[in-house]
Amino acid sequence: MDERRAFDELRQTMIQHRLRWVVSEVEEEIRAGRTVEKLVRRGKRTPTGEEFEIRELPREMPGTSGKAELTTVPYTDSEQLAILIRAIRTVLVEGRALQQDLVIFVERATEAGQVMESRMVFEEEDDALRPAFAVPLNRDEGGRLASSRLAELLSPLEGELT
Amino acid sequence: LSVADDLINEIKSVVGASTDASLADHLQASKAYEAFLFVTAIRAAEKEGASVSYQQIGQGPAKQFVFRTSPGHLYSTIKPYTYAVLDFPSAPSLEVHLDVRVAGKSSVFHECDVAVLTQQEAQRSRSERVAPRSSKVIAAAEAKFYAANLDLDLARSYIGLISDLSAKACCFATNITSASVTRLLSQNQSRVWYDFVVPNSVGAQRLGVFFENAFHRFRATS
Repeated sequence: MDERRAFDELRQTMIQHRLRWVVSEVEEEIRAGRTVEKLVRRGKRTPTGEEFEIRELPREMPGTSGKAELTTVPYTDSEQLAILIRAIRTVLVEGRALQQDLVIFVERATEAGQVMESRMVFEEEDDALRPAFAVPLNRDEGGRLASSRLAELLSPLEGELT
Repeated sequence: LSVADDLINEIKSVVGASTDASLADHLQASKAYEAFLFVTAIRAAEKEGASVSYQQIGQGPAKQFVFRTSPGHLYSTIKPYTYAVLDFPSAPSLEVHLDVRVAGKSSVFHECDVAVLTQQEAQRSRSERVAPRSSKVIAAAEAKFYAANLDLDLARSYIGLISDLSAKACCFATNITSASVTRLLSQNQSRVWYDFVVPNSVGAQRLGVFFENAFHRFRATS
């Protein structure tokens, strides 16, 4: 399939699995475009007096008659797919690795008697604002294996797209 | 470029199994990231010879790790939030807190995702019910966990924050990178930042060294 269709299908899958926030960030990045430097050449017309003061370019590119200025260009289909693939790795592979690291930390603290329960919970001061949530510390083997497999699958694609 | 149908289909089938509630919610993922930075600070302290214990506000030794979902006052006793106590040989004790407000130079509150401060100042904060002074913060880290888009405003906020903090060392740590953020923060050496800070990465090592250096300096000058 082409890159556009691959992007659309993966985007849809992410949304189906409640990862809308990831897709939103990808779309935001794509909307912003890729920042590039563009060589702006001076016009042939010779400005006079004050006009010249205002428009004069502060820094010229060596060997050219212009200067580099910032602009954005749209991401290509291939680049858009690369952004989505990178976001999938960031959240589902690296995000899970982060959880695993917290599991190790909490288990170690519990074994050392530094805390009594293997639990890491986040709570608002006012429970009415948001319910508490816990970092999953149950060593979810299925999730870990799926995440490893995902990392393997993403690698060749990342190689092709970059 | 044509992408193999099989590969995309297999990725699609594995995405569901790789997802859980904590990854499907940006807030939960961000909070786990702050906790990861907290852990990085603790590990750096241990490397520098500290013995570590955990306390829960108002309850003594910690039963479990309870952290804030949004920034709060260090002295608040509404919830038994957990903090670490670092005891170094021949140096005053330090405390590590997540998501607390400190007082800046201009007497306004600033939020620190990870704040390492002297225990003396933390105790003063709890007994007087006042925000700790940023001059007593020996290291602070801003944690930013994003999937794809690291907004330039985050870097601008960080620049504003460090201009009003008297903390000995501040840094901006992110799990991804951005050309604009990198460019802006690289303009000035006081803007310490680390990108790609994820487990087992060069970024995480750099952040660890940042905390180690802060502890080392503290011990040397105490």
